[in-house]
Amino acid sequence: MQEYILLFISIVLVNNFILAKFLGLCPFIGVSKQRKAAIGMGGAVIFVMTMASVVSWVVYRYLLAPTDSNLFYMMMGQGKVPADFDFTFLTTVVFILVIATLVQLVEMFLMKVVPPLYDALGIYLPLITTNCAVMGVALLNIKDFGMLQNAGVSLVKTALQGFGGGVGFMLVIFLMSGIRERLDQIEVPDALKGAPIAFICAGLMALAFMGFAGLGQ
Amino acid sequence: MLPSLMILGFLGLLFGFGLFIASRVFRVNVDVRIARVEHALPGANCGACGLAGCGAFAKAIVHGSADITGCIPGGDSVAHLVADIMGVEAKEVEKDVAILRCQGKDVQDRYEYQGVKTCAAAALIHGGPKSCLEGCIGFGDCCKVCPFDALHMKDGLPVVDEAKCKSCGKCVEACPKGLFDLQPIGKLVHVRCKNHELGKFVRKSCAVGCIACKKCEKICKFDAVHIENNLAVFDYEKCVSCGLCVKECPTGTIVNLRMERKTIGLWPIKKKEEVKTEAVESDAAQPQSEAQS
Repeated sequence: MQEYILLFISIVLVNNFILAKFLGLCPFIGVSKQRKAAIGMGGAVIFVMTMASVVSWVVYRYLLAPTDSNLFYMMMGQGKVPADFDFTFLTTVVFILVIATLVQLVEMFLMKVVPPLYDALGIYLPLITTNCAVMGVALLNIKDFGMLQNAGVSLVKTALQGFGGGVGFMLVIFLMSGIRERLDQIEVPDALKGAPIAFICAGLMALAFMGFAGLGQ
Repeated sequence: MLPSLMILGFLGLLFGFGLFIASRVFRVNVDVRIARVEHALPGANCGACGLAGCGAFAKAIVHGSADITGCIPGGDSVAHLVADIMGVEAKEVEKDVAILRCQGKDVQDRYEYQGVKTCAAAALIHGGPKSCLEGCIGFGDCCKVCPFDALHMKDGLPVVDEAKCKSCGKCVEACPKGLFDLQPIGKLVHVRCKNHELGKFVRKSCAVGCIACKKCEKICKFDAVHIENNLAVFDYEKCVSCGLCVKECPTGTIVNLRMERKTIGLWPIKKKEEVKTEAVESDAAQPQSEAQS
């Protein structure tokens, strides 16, 4: 159990996708102007990351990876070894397909069920497709847990890492939007108005998050 | 080779079919009036209505959060089209036009400006090269932003083509000197100067600037002109465009646009009924094109 808690804390705080790995910076700067939109974006990213982790794990484990459970190995693997069915070179292309489909699905869902959120997210919702944090978490998952012997443990850890990555993203983008709402109220030198001061704040936040590095070795 | 093709083909088919089903399940019925209203709007996305663009304005109209006469560039005709779609009566819209508050064509340069040829850049260097600090710099930033081709440079000054002007306010924002403002087309008399300096300094730089002689203030019977900060300023609420001050103004700073507007057919302002009958006549004259459209 402790293992899972540590994994979650590690991906949310220590190896945070935005502030430690510097992935997904486009929506981080783009949607962090208002707290409401930031929470919406965070929610969408949590959903997409978790789903993408699970689906990409299934695809990787049963179609691409050279293991006993590879579907091709099971179907026509007589007299061959699993290593002959190594399709990991397709990983990137297949994961892009998975993520793009999922984002389309989320977009349709939001348009139908939560139109205000759909309007608030605007262009950034389709942009989750190209959000490198989503791709990053999928690739990180298969690197960390893809080859674990126990399929159940591997899947749970994958889902947890995807979910935690989304939570970390939401946490940071929410904190950032709170800071930026206050930045609008104060006098900033002309040259630093808007994005520049936001980047400076993001840098300071990244420094602060480095303090978590000692947590949960 | 074959398994790779199978993997990608299978996944592609699966996801494609999944999306097809999802698009059926999560179908959103968009109000058809939004598209029709948007089609009726000018489509310049100028933002004069105060919303992000024609699409957002159309949405706001259909949802009832915007007035159907809110499209200023479209004016009466668009308001009528939109009113037809929405099934309500249109009110009359008074057309505004942009007025340039400067007519200094022969203002000397104080220094030789060699930078980027835009007013915005030139204005950053000691307020621009012209010896009148509040006047037109003359690089035509306003002409570049006008989405309706209603502004053209002539003899170093922008000229508003009032027939084309839709009072979107782009030029008002673009001018670094703030020389434009929007006034109703019914207001014919305007002060064409924005210089707040004392009269003798204005005289040095410009022959047609306001020297604050107060003659207009004295002659006005409606208490509509006042000298504020060495500049004649109109109170358009009171001004009836009688033109007395135009004759009195020694520098020709105050102008009367009555004749210009008469020649392009903007004055006298047509009443709503006249516009309507004209529209009917033109419809009758071109029944073919109407049927086709």
